[in-house]
Amino acid sequence: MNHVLHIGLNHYLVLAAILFAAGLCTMTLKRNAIGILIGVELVLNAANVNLIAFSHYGTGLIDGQVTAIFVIVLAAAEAAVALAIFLNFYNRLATVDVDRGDRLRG
Amino acid sequence: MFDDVNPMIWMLTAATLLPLGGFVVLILLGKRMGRALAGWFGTAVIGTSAVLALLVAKRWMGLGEHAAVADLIIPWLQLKENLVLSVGVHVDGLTVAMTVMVTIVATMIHLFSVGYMWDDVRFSRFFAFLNLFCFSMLGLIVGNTLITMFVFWELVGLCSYLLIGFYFEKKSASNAAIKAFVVNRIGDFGFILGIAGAFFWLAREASAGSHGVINLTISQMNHIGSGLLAAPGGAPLWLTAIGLLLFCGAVGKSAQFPLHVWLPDAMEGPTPVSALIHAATMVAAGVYMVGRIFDLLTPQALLVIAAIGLITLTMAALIAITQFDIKRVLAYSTLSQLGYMVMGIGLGGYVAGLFHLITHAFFKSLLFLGSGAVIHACHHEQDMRKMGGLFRAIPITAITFIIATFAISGLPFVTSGFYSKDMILGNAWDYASGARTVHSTHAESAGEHGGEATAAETPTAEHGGEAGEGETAAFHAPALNRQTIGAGRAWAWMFFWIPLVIAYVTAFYMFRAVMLTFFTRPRDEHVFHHAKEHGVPWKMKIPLIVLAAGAIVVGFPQLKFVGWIESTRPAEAWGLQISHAAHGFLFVWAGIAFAVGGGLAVLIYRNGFGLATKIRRLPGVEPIYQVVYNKFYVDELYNHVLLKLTMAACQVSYFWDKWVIDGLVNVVGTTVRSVAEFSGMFDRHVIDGSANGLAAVTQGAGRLVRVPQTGRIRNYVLFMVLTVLLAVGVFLTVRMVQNGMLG
Repeated sequence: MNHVLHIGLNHYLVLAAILFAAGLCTMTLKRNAIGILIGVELVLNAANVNLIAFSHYGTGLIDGQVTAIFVIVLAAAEAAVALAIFLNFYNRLATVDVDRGDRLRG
Repeated sequence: MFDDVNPMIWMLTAATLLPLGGFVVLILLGKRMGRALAGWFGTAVIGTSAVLALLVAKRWMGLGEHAAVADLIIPWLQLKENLVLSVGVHVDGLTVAMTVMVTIVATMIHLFSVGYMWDDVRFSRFFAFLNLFCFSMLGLIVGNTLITMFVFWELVGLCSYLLIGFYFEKKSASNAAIKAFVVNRIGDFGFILGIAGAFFWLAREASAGSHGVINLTISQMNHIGSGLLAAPGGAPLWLTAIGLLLFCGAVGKSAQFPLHVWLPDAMEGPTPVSALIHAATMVAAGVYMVGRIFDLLTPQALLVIAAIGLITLTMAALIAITQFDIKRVLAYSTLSQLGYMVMGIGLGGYVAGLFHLITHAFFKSLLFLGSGAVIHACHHEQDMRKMGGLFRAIPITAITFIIATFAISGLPFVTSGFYSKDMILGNAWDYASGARTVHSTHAESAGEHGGEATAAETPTAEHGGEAGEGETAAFHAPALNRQTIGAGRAWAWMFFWIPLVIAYVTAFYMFRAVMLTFFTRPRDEHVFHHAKEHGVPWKMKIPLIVLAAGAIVVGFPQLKFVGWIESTRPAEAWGLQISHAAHGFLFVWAGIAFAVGGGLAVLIYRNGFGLATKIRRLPGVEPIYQVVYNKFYVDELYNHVLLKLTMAACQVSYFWDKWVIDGLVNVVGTTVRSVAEFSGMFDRHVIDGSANGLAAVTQGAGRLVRVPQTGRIRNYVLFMVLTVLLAVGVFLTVRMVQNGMLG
């Protein structure tokens, strides 16, 4: 039987979960600051996928997309701030290895 | 009258305070002044005092019959309404005589010291101490109560300590100073008890009668005392006790028999100090004090005093024969002469004793200064065994020394010593023969005194009349028979015969010293040549000459010393009331004493020690000689007995201390300690424990919480994720349980 793969909400959610997990893993395992930033972007975009998917299969309006746009903007701003922090971090320690910056250790 | 007298008080006060000023200046600035200035300044200060004293004497003499006692009484402590303790200045004939003597002798000694002490490192300090010494003695003389007397008495003791120990680098000198001080303390203990007793009893006695304001000056005490002595029932026992206690002070200060041991050791001081101590300042104080309180002395007390004087004069004279140190010979002769004075006073010879004090001051200071000049010339050699023949080397010193020897041996008519010693022996004769016992009743008053006709008293009769006015009236209301115990008894003759024999001995040992020092062949070439080359500087010669003149003339009646002393106790004074019997033959015997004693010494020692050594070899002489040479072993006796007693007392105190006092203290200590230990344990384990425990818990919690705080962002993210997962897990589990999905 011609089994047509019907793309539904669950697929989006699984994709988002995979993205989220990948981002999370990147954030926790990467020692490179840029890597962490990338992980954060993955997590944010996983959320965006969820937003749009829920909006599409829910109300059908575009409020999900609008929110996603906001998230992207915010992500851009956040990336700018994070890059500024990392720049300072680099200036101080001459590295972007975040494990070296453990001054907050109790 | 008061206007006449007042200037004398002020002059004597100034004469007293000047040396104090000299002391202050010298002790503060002395080192910066330099030798010459310091020495001459000290001498000038005491010289000014001497001039003031002489002016007072001149004034006193000018007043003649109008000379009257002057008291400056300053109330000090108001004890009761009519009872005041006072201090102040007292001027009478005795004060005048004593200040003149002390200041003149002291001035000469100062002058001598400028030469003698020139090479000493502590030159200016020496003069400071000399000035302080003179101040103390003058204060003692002019003070009018026993309180002032006691204060200055102690100052005199202090000065003697400072000066005897002046060469304190020498162990023997510092020991001698300590010995003098301690031995004097023993006497002073009695003295201060006597003062306390006198104040207590006499104040009580005075308030019982009607004496007006009682200010307890010495004059008033004497007045009260003479009243008590004249009482029909005889004087009370406590008066004897007071008299003897006060006499204790004199025993210490004037070095009488049981406490005489300090005086010979005081030779360790510089020789001018010896002269000052022996003549003017130190030992004179005791005799002077006994004279001052004469009316407090009951017949019993007087007998004890006379006996002590007799023992001292005999013992010291015998010891003096055997000594080789020239200063020691003189020291023992001082002891002996002090014994004469004390015995004289004890036999009622108030004038005789004090007169001998004054004449003795002149010739004894001369002897000491002469010995100082000898020692100086002989390069600090004091042993007569190394001298000899010095007459040729230092003739002026020798001549003055010989004059003083004549005086102390009593060369008749020419020297002062003859007059005073003759007077003492005359008193002794009258006491022993009982010539005095008939003499008085207390009924007669001063005014009637002249009318009383006994053979013995004609010379005083004039004085009795002349001072019988003004304040002096108080002193001689009753004429007293002062020494009645034993008078006329057979044993009383020892008070005459022994001193007479000792007068021969005195001449003997003094001529022995003269012979061994100035005549015979020189026994040590080195010493002799040193003396011949160096001689004696003029600063030391002048005092010798002046004092030699004094040693001759002070005894002459024209100088009034006797009159001055006698004016203080006209009625009782027996000094001149020597019976005609005694007057007739005494000077012959005294003259014989001079000739026999002196001649014997010249004979024995004309060739040095040869004959004397032969005499020592005679059977039986050597043991006696050893006993005398070792000063009758008094020092050794004191050392043994007192040392043993002290050690025993120490042992007892030690055991008491160790077992009882220490034991008690230890028990208390142990108890307190165990309580403290318990308290400490509680503190350590409970109080500290809770505080520490809290801290440990907090710390542990902190350490635990610290573990996740790695500072690594990755870890934080991980924790966050895990937490979220946990929360989600819990949430889901709860939901599933609620929905029954988990069975």
